[in-house]
Amino acid sequence: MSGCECKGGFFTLRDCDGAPAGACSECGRTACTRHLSPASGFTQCLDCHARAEQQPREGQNATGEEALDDEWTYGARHRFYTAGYAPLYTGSRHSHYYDGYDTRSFDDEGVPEAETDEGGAGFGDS
Amino acid sequence: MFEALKARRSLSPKQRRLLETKQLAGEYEPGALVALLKPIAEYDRLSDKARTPMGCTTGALFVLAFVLLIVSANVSVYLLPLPLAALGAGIALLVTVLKMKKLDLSNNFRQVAMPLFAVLREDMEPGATMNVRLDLSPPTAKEKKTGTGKPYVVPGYRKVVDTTYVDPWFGGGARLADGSVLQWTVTDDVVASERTKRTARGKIKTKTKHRKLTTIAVDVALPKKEYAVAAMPADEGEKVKVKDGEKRTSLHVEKRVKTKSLDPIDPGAVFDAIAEGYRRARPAGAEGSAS
Repeated sequence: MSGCECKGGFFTLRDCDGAPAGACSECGRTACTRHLSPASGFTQCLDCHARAEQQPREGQNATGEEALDDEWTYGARHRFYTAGYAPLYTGSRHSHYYDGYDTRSFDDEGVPEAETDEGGAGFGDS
Repeated sequence: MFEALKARRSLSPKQRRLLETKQLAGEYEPGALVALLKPIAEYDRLSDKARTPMGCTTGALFVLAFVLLIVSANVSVYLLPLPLAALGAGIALLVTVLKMKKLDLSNNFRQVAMPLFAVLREDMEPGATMNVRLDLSPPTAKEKKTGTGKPYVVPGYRKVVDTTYVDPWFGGGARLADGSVLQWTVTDDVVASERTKRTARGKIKTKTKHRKLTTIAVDVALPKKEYAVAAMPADEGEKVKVKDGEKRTSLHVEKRVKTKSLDPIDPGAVFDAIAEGYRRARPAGAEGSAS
């Protein structure tokens, strides 16, 4: 993989064009500087950090309001997807990382059939 | 208190103007908008947190000034500077609290608008701008009043007067990275019910209760080149209308949220309304398409 393997977007997911700056210690995906989590010391991608962070984090202020940075957005995205929203993926570089969210995809080419049945819902399923 | 005052001093002239007028309208890049509004939101949070203890301290200072005045009158006139100092401090604090109250913004700003901007920042191309209109004055401001009903009686109360307000506080539009065009409005319809009753001790007491109906209207125009739209029933409390255009399929989603206070709605309700449009989207040419 030559570029950042993380996906941007909230209501729809799309490929990131950022140049890789490191690899996530959790999922092993390469990520650009924007998609590496500052709160994890740039060792995890924003997605993995959001999945790991279930408790209010340090950036959250006393009233429970958040810092509204990228980490907040990816945390909110994770919560929104796990609450039942199946995002549409509009890119062309598939990643099984997002299969758990029942991601709906425009292009299922390149995804082995057996794997599609297991995790990624695709359009037929959603 | 000092944190709030420090936060206000650190605001730029543009941010101060916004805080005073409580109005924002124009084209903004979402990242830049969040950066512009974040210090204002932080000031507003600190101000909200500080005002109650400041009000209590003001009251305590006035009481202290009165007590010290009696003490100095009975003991020695040389003690007179003490009540005067307490009175001066109380007046200064009162002026500060009133000024902070005047600059108070609707909590809709921090708890609904800001999260939406942060989310849209993720769904827009870098550098793309969105149109925003924000009215952060209180929902029960005079100019938002639409009428006052005739007094009526309900069990337990001798007089109830309902005043209605319409607060179309939030609206905007943006072109998203997938080519869709999103528009939204959030309107609060508020009923302030002023209820008067006689207590067991014979005192007349009046309290105000609020009911709020928030209407979230979202239009998502999906490019036909990319998306087809599938027919689906709307969720409870939502209305969905699909309009077929030449180049786009427009989905109008209306969601209503009722609350028994003036507290902001969950920003997730706005996200859900937008998502309701995307739930019906399918890749153009996929099976199950309605258009």
